[in-house]
Amino acid sequence: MVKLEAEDGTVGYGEGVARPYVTGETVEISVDHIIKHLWPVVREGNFTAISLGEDPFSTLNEISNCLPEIGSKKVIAWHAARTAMELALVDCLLKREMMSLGAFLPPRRNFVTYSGVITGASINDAVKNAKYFKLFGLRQIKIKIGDTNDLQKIAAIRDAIGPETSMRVDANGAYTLDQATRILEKLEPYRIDCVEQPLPRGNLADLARLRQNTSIPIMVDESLITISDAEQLIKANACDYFNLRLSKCGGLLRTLELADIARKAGIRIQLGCQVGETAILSAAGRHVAAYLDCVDFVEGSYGALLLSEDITQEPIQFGHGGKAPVLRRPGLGVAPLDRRLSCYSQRITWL
Amino acid sequence: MDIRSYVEKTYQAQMEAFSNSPQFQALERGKIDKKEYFTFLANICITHMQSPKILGFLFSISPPDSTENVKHNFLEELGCEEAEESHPDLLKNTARGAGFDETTIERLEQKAQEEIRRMCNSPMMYGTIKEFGLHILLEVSSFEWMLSRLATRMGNFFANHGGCKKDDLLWFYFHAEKDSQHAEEALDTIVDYANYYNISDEVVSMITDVAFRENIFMKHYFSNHSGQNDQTAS
Repeated sequence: MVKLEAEDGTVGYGEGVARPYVTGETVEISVDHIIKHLWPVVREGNFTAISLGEDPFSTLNEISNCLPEIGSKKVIAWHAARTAMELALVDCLLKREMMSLGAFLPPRRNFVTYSGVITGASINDAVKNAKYFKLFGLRQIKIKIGDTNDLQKIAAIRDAIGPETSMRVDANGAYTLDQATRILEKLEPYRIDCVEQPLPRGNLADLARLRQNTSIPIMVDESLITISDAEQLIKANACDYFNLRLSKCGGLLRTLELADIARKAGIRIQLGCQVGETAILSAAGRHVAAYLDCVDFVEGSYGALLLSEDITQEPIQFGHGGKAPVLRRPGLGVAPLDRRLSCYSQRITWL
Repeated sequence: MDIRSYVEKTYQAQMEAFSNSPQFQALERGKIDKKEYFTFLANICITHMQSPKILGFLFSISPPDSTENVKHNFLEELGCEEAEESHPDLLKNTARGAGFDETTIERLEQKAQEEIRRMCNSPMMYGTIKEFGLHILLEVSSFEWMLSRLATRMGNFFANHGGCKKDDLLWFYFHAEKDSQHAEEALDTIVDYANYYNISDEVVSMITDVAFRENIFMKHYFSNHSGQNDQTAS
């Protein structure tokens, strides 16, 4: 997390979640990257001239593009680090103007609807969780697959939740092309709305082939980190959906750019999240989900449903039906409590 | 499914995990810094100081067959029945007896109120008040059930290791005596509630599982929300 204090005392907060198996970033090297490369630029930057005007892209361009892109063999991209700093900067600048990110990225809806996610679990536990989601009124569920009991699990869950609930699956790159082709053929009768990352990142030809072999739409997650990834995926006709996650994709500007690329290519969007994210990332994700024209699935805002305690006084997790209102307070719309951040911090670095 | 039995087994499992926990054992054996007793008592205060408000809510939604029992419990919380003091006052006097000053007690009362605020501000996962009400009824009843069995032990470890006199620990010994009856009545109320509001056994068990997905006693009594500066003790 980044806490940024401006000279006039305004404070902004940002968050990034490093996932070594996605972008290559660890927490340690992300923090190091912020200290060495991002903070010096922000410290010396003059942001008073930035006008929070009509075009969010051009304003976000000014803010986000002051943060340098540093190539490295260690990582695919420094996106978690970048997201943390960019969000802190945006939060700070908007709060200075008493402006909500929602005023800046106008929401197209008053509520965002979130999906439930069932992670690796026994069939009994997975069915139990599915029934809880049904009790909570969730109409969209994602199920993690990649085990030997996938078919039985999906069948049992579909039986528990009924035919109307949208069900999609996420393989996190667990399959080879042949395995994916076989399992997806068997899953087709269970009305799967899409399969996320069926193959590991890397082989676009196989992904494109799989897309031809199955009627289940293909969503990419770990295969989609950079703009270049997006362009190659489109060129290869390798997917139907992009899973956009702020911390994976590099913050607000990069995520909106990817969404625009998707829209122009006719690719549908999921606005995903980082498991374990706090209200800061959830809030930023909420604004983007409410702003984008067309988002089929949204994940996140689990708050204290997943965390023992969130870091804001006011909970922003979703409620019944997976619904959560658009946030309207200044900045990202949340007020982190410093005492909670301190309580849960493993290391604090003052710059 | 025997719902009464399912709920009671859940309470039993929660209580055993709590009383067998290293934290509880350390308090009971005196193998811990004295300030931990005051943190524990502070958390008890935060958990229970606004109990009449919760009981008031449960009274308002109580099924007709259980209204008398719930009303009796509610009035007792307020100090309008046989007890001379309201339960929050009993708890405050216990805190005073343990050495908490008035500023600390006031702060704990505020934190207890913050918990009510947090509960009301939290998005409702359930679709109706009947399910939410059941969740709250299950939680409140679980504390009555646990306190009827453990309150004496807890009072004793304050007396033996926390530097408190038994006469000052009334809240614990009062609950040890009264909550046995309340705990049994509460289990009956849960069954009445489910029948009155047409909540199926399956849904009752699901709401029970959701309410107790974490250990509720550990969560409340060993939490960090009382803070370092919330108690002063002589």
